[in-house]
Amino acid sequence: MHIRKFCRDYSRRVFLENTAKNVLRAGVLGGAWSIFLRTGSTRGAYPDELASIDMYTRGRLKPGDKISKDNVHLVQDLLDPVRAKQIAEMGRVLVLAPSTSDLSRLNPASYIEATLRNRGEARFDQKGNVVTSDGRPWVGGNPFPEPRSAMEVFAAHTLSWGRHDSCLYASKEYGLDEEGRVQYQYASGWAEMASIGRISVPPMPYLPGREEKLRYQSVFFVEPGDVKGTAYLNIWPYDQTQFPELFGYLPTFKRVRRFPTNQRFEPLNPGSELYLSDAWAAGDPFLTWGDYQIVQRGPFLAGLSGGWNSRHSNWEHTTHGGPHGTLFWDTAVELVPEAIVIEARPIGYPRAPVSKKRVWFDARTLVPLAMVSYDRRGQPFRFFDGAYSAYDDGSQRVPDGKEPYWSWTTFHAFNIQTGRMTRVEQVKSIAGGHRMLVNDPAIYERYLTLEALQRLGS
Amino acid sequence: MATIRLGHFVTCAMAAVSTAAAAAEWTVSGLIREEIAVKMTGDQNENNWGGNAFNGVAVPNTFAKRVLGVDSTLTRPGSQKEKPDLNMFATRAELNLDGKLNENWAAHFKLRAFTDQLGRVESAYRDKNFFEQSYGASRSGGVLGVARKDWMLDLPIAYLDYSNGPVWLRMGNQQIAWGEALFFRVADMANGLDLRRHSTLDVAAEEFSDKRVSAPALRAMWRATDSVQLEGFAQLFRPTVLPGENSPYNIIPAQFVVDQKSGYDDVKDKVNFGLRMQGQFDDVGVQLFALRRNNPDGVIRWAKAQGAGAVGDSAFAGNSGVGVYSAQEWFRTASLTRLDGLGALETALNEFNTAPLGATGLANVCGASGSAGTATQAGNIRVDSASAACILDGFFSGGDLRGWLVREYPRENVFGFGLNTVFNGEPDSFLDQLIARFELSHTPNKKFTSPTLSRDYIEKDETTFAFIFEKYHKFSQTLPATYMVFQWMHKSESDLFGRSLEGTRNKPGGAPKGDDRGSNNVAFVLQQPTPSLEWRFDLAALTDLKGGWFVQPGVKWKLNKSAQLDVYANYFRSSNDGGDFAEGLDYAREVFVRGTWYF
Repeated sequence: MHIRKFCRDYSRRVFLENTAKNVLRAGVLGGAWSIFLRTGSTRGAYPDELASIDMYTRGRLKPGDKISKDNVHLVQDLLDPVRAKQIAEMGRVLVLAPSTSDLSRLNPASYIEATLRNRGEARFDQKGNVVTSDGRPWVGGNPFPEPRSAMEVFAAHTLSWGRHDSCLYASKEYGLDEEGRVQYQYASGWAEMASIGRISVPPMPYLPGREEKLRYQSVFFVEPGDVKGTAYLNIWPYDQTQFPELFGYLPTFKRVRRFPTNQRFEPLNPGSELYLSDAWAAGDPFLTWGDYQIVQRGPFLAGLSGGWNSRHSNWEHTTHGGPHGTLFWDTAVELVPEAIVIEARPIGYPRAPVSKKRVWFDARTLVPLAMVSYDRRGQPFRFFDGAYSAYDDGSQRVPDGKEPYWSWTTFHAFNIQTGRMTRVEQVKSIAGGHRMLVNDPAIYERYLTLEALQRLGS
Repeated sequence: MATIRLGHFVTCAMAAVSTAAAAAEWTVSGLIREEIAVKMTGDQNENNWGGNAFNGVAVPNTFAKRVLGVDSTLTRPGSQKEKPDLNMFATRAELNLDGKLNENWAAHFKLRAFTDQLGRVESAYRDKNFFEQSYGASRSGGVLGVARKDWMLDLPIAYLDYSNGPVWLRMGNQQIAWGEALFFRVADMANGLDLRRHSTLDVAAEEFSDKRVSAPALRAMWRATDSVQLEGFAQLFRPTVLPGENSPYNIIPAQFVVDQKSGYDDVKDKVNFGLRMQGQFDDVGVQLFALRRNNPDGVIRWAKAQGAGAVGDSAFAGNSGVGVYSAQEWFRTASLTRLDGLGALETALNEFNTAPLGATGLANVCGASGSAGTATQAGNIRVDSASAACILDGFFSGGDLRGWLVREYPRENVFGFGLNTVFNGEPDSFLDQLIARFELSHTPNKKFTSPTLSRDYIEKDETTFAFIFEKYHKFSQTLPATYMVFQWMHKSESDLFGRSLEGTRNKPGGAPKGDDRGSNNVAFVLQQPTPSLEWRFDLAALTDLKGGWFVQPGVKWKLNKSAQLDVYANYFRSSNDGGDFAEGLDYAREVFVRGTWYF
């Protein structure tokens, strides 16, 4: 039975009312987290119209269908303007997948458990950093699962980018020129380890003696030969008004040196459209950005499942679009019942080429789904959209303890003004025998120390 | 028993590594590069026979005039004159093999092949020896390599890495680079430099990655705490490798023969040791270091001439046709190399058995006092400019003479420390994220080549320190940050190239006045990439504040994932008054182009 009270307009009205009241809690019919606690699913928090794409489009589209230039008008209001244009004009195609309402498929189970365990414990201190009710650094999980401000959304996400205690993402990056040709290729490893808010790997919740730090994060390149051995280590302070410390090993110098860290708005390698600032749509300490505002709420199409390509021995993904068929990742998207769109400005970077960014978050998990950054004239500059997945497709599974590994799978970084595209995919392993790792205590020693930089260098 | 146990251990270790290697994941990468340097000037390298400023120039014979009352001249043959237009015409290939043996062990190798075919396109360099050395494995000057006149092949990287928790070991042929300063070698003292491949005139931003001489070493690092690391190494000594005689960037005047093998043989089995502690204390990075090493740059003195043409027991050989032809040439050469033209003559006469050659008589008729050395006693001849010229021209009246030198590598201790900190200021202010670094090294009783080329080397305590400021600054919102480096290095006893300051302020025909205030060198570097980083514009400038300048503008273009093009210019300017580092380097005003294909 279809209750007309809960039609699309009803949902829109609720989104507007909640936004006006600064109620950012996910859910139309009730708090998504509360309903998840009761039922194990967020399905009951939303009316049928937001539960599946066929209901939303009144049967005109269903899981398995492709969104192309021929039918993109049917989902125009579920897309950001950049993807809508890519589909309409650049040959991008999205494949529809069933909606996921089981939160444990949308975030690591351990993160969800910690979020529930520590619910209501978080607050901002005088400086604006997230602390527990007794003033200690955060203890794990999402501190603001039912946020009341845009700042809480960004703070929660910045504290735990990947939702794991530690990870090594093996990745391949492809830089495409304006004609859609692959011009540059890189293979790199990106390691993260939380020193507070640890929920899976002892010691928990803090690394003793390192409570004043938020995370260790490194990136190192193994291909091609001219950048092979280049490695950087960021050590983030917990105080989000401060920049991370940056150490680097450049093959030309043959030694680890300390680097300034405020230049976060430029690519690390030629042809790349990725800045440090872009990492996880929250690559900078969140208090170096400001004017956080909610600008929109509503359903959205995003890649939350089915993005893991277990059929390829190295999990590499297929592409389409552009004159050479290499412009876009093949991506499955599903209807996200509620996305929160937040804008922020880089208040700590007067000469940043970016004037603001607009980020779409899944209201249920506060995972970033897409981002547009704007240049200083206010014109759209670069666009990012990512895909996530539980690494479990029924036939194969990558374990994270007892649960499947959850992580990102692919993302695009598209320069709207030049037409250059950077595609990145998470793979199983890269040259040098570096394999994807999650919550492995060895990640710190292997990838996140100064001697690790020296050793990874060449 | 111990031998058997050791043998057993080695066998087991080899077996373990072999097994791991068989199961390893290996990756291969590399590059092929063409490197060409075109001169921007007609100036030639005066250290080479072909570039000698006295080729075909008749100069007055002061001996004939003073002693015989006759006007005559001495002339270096003009036939030796050469005017090449290129400084380099090289091809480089590098092959990297990297293997992860297991979670603890990794192996890394780099094979480097380099050939300079300049001799095929410039007659000045036909059959000249660019690479082959009189010492080292397969005449390579190093440990793992082979060299011949126009090519060299070596393994600058051939090591195993072992890591386990806070311990990291690197075993094998390797470079060791320490220090805060770039290009200025204050703490970067572990390895000498290989100057055979474009000297030190490659892209300044690449520092010495292609130049440091690798040698077998055991290097160990232990992370004592999250912020403190201890490191030590033991490394086989290997010297700085000099460019070949008459090669484009030769730094030793080719009228002289340098015996590099004798000194090398004396110390080739010596081991250098180094210890370092690095720590991060609040906002300040600290390092303390100490080295015990043989100075890889070495020191030089007169040596008794060997072989056919050796003149008695002196340091000279005659009638080679490529030696020194006149006193003027002698003085000019001495001045350019910061040697004492007068003192070097005295030493050559007094420290060798030159009395039987009539040196005392010649000196006396030329107005110099004292007696020449004998087989049993050092001489005491003292000369002034006029008598020195007369004596020299007296010798050269009998034909040209080649001086013989020997290069030795004294043992020394080096102690030092370094500091760094990052300033925080208003966002995007000039002070914000400015990195300041300081490092200092002190070498007690360091030996320097005496400007007189005496066997009594100069021995002084040398202190070297450098201030370094680095900054990424955004001048515009559309361009990436400009990378800027400012460095000032002070050396208490030597110049930029490590030559004693007793040889500076050096005019031909006189003794150098020296300088006891130390030397100062200031460097400034700019790098400006374009927004996509496909292009990077570089500017490096270096001055010794005494009229010597080196400026290197250039551009790097990364065409695609496999190709890169570099175009740079090297520009030297000297005040030519015997006191700056750039004197005599006009020949290296050049544009060099490198086209690289990576695979």
